Amino acid sequence: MSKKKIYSLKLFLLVLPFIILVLLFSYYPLYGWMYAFYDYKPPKTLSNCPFVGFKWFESLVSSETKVQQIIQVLKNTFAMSGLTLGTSWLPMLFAVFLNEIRGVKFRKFVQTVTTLPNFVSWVMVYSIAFSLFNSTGMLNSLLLKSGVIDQPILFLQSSSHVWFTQWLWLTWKNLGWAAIMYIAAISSIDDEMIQAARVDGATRMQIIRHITIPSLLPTYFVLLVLNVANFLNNGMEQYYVFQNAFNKEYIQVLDLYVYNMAMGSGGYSVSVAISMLKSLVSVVLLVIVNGASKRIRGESIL
Amino acid sequence: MKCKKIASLALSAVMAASMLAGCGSSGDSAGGTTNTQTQTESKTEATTTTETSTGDTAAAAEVSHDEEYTVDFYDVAANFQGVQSGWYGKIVKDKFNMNLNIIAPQVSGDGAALYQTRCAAGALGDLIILDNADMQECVESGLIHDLTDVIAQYPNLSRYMEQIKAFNAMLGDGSKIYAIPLEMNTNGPTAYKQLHVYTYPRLGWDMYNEVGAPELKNTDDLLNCLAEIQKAHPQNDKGDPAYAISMWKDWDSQYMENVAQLTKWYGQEVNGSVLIGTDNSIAPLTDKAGAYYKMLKFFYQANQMGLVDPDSATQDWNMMVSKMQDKRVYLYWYSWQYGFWNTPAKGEEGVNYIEIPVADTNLYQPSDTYYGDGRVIAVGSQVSDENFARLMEFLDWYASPEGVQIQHGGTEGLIYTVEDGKYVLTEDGLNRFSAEVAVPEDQGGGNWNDGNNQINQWIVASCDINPDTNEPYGTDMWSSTIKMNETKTTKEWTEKFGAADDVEYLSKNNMMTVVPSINIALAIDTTDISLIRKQCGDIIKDASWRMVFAADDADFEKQWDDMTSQLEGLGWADLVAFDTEKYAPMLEARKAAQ
Repeated sequence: MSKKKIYSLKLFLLVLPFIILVLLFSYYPLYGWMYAFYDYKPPKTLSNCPFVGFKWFESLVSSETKVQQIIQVLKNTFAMSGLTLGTSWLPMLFAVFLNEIRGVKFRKFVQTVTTLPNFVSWVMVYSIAFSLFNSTGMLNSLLLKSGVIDQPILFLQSSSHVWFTQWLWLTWKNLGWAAIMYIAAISSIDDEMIQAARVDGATRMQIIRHITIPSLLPTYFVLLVLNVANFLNNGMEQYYVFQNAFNKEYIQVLDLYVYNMAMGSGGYSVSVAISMLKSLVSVVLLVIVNGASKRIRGESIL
Repeated sequence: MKCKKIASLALSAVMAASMLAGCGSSGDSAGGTTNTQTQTESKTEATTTTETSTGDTAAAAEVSHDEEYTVDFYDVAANFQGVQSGWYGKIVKDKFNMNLNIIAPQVSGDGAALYQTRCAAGALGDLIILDNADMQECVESGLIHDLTDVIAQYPNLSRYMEQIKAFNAMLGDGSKIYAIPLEMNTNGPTAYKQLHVYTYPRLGWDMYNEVGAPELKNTDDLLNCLAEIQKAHPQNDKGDPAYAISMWKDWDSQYMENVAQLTKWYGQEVNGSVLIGTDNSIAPLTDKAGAYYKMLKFFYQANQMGLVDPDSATQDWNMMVSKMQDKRVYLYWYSWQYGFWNTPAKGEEGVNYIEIPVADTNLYQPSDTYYGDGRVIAVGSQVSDENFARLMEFLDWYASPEGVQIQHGGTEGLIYTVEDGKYVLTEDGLNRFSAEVAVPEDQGGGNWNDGNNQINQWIVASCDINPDTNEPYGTDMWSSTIKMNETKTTKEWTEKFGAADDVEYLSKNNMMTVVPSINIALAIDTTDISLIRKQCGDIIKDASWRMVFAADDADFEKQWDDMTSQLEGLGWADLVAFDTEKYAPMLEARKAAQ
């Protein structure tokens, strides 16, 4: 064996564990797609269930109500992902301003406080929300005792501004964490540039506008492209814990819809069918955004 | 170009690999099935040998209790998840060296999901309590242990052989015995021995009198009466806000359970998507002339009048319990809710809750559950032979006079004493549900209620007769308790309404119909139907809760119409047709028994 071959074998062995991990966790689960084509019903095993072809895909659009339901779910998904995407510059801005804080102790304090919520699980977030906002919760007690209202306001049962409040919860939880990436990027900006700008008489805002933010943009775009690909994947935990009879119409995003359909009704097959479609759409979105990025900025990540 | 080639090569390799993986695991599962089969076969052999060795006596084999055994107990009835502790846990531990690890789908939040994932894993539990239909599926899927050969060896279970056989005749080919119905009795199929009807409007006697003991002609009168009461008592004695009506959502299935219980006041019981009437009629749940709409409107009107606890849509049953104990709820409907407030002492003060007749009701009252209550208990097919014997021994004890007595009457000394061969409740026994009764350390310690049997279902109903006393097992049906319960409340009630109790009053005035209780296995949902059922159920539940809290009449009507049109689009008609056909055999059996 030539030296070159041994060298490439070595390299291959180095990446092998990761290939195995990807195969195991990203490709092996695709085997589960089989369930979309069977009339699967637990507790029976798949081999005991009849093969039904595309029945479940067709059933998704078999009646107007179902179509409307899916449209509503997609609306929610797009609204919530759209809000997140539309405000994805917030963490960047937050990082920039955080960086401008002179007092190191105060800066670290703010950073820690804003990062911490990321480590609180959604169930805990809900229990915090519940103890603050239920009919005998802190806010209602406060308002009742101070005589502002005479009947408790049922915040958690409200069906208005669901998208916005959910976005607020998400931002509260994620802002500090998402800013970490940008803080790292800021520290890698060449100091010489900033010094030079200072010598030329640039103000702080001008430095931010002409140096810091332009240097952060590549990072921002990479994250943006990844976020677009995840447009349909806004997760279900948050919406699952906050959902109730009153806000379900606006809170049910695609992931939650899939969960609600599968669990409890035994609608596994139809849920798999939906998530298959979801994966396809995500891949298409990724390719489109990547193409757009290539055209507009001459850079792509694929 | 080269990159693309490599990528496509890699992709196809992955596809091939995943296909192989697919084949591999299906092969595995086939292997698994064979394994189980062999196991079952060897088990049958084992039992046969035991039988031959013990000869014709056919007594159950001696079981060793040396090893501690933690039983995974999948229990759809339980309101508690975890290992049974306290006094009941101690009894089971001392007797059988067993810990009951209760897995409660009702507590876990998404019960159906828990059921399906555990089923898919092939081991639901060592002991399993399920609704009839689910048990049918599990038997078909081979998750349930066959009891055919061994059940006759257990004398206490054998006393209910007629009912057990009647139920199992409908499982599989009908020749095997897999499951034991729950809440059976030996009083006969049409007997109704309970002291009270199951669901009916129940108010505090003092409060009802305080507002002038109005004659209630219909639900409007009931609401007005409740409004008066709430006006007089906006808070309990401790100053916590109190409401006429409080609800909880954690018992909802495919409809709002609180509403479904009240439909029985007007002669209809919700079964899946249909309402079954006392006249054996069958109508869709969405029938606007039906009781579901009527009772939903009742709750809505109550909310309009400010009578509904605003926590209703977010609180759970446990919160409801503490509210009842603090007298923050003025309307009860279940007969067993009495346990959270009533005592003889309070009855003597005249403050017990009691049925208040509403003239236009036609109560749907099923007879005592001779054949079982629609749930069954079984042993998981994955348990080892040794554990199987231990579980059967436990089940036999659970159905024995001793086990049933402990279940329904607690322990001697603490809860009751024996006087002249009859049982008499102690002071602690009387208060065990409504107050914190401390259990002595040597009996397990802690609070009696927390240590109570968390299985929450029993093989023998409390109306069955205890051979030791010739009285029913249920403490409220003991002659000593009935006498003790003759209090100011009941005496005044009898005087006013001219009947000994509510059962007598309602049947005398044609305000109730006793429907024969039938326990047969019914058609199982196909995947299409179960998907429709789930989707429709979600719509009904959500819409029902929203309708209770609707802004005004127009909003209420609009939500109802939206709900029905959405249901139509999801295939409601198919579901109703399926359910109508599904319950037909039950109605036939009922007509035959009437």
